[in-house]
Amino acid sequence: MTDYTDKDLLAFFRIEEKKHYAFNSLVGKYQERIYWHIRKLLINHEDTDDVVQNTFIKVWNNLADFREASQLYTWIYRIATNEALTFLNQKKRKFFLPIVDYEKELINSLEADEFFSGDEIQLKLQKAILGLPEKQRVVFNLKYFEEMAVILDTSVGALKASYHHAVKKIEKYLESN
Amino acid sequence: MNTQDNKRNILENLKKDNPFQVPENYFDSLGSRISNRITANTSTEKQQYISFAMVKSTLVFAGGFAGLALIIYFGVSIFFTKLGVEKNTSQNEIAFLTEYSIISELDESTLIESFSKENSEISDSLHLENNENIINYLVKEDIDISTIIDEL
Repeated sequence: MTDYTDKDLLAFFRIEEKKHYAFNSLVGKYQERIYWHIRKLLINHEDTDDVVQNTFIKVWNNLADFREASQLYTWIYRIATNEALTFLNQKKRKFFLPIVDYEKELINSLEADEFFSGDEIQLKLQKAILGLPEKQRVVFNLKYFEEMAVILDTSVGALKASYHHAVKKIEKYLESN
Repeated sequence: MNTQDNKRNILENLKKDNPFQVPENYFDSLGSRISNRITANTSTEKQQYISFAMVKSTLVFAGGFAGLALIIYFGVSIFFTKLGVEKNTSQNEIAFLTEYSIISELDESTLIESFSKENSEISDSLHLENNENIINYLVKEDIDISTIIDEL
């Protein structure tokens, strides 16, 4: 598949005959980055698969109205983040679990997950990250894994502060464990 | 070494490799699975729209028919109800009158006739009685017919 720019893909998408081709190219271009972003939040592969599909379906439904106020990738990333956070909240409501118990469930599933190949230290790090509030988790994942971008609707200063707090908590957790 | 630096190093020294994995060829098929879902959703939406339009028109027709049926029903009910009340009323009146024997199949003409008859019977009886008295008087007073005629 030829690598088109975001602008080209948007233009193709607005032509009825080229709509599907443009969309498939878009998915091919961003699917992995979107997948890993969501996976770090949800941990579980099956849940991530659902949310990734929901994200791109939402992109399909709304791309015609995209006003290019931000980068296309940023826009998709924001949709993915919102979908993942909504999914987490729905899961908690569904099982009537308070946040702490649900995070525990995620940690337990991580240990038994066939698609988790990290060592003991990696497992500890993931457990520490899971102990963070959701939005802080998003910020930490982005910065730590060098993928910082304008995702959350907040200022740069607030993002830096949030990251700083997240780092402190994780360091404390790793020290005590 | 500074404790703070140690703490920093903990995180920075951790491998930043991705500890998560995906099933084999997952990303190769993801795009087509998403496209299939979009196609399925579009077909479902179209079917739902058509079904909704059909149901809507059926409901409108059924609603109109039901409304008409109700109007006819109430119209007929009111008509027969009114008729029934009048019939009942006259029947009730007759039953009352018959029960108290006030009138028993009598009408005005019959009443007048019977009254007239009664009066004539009475006047006849009175007439007869008067004639006798007159005759007795005439005999007693020795008054002859020429005298009566002169008086009249």
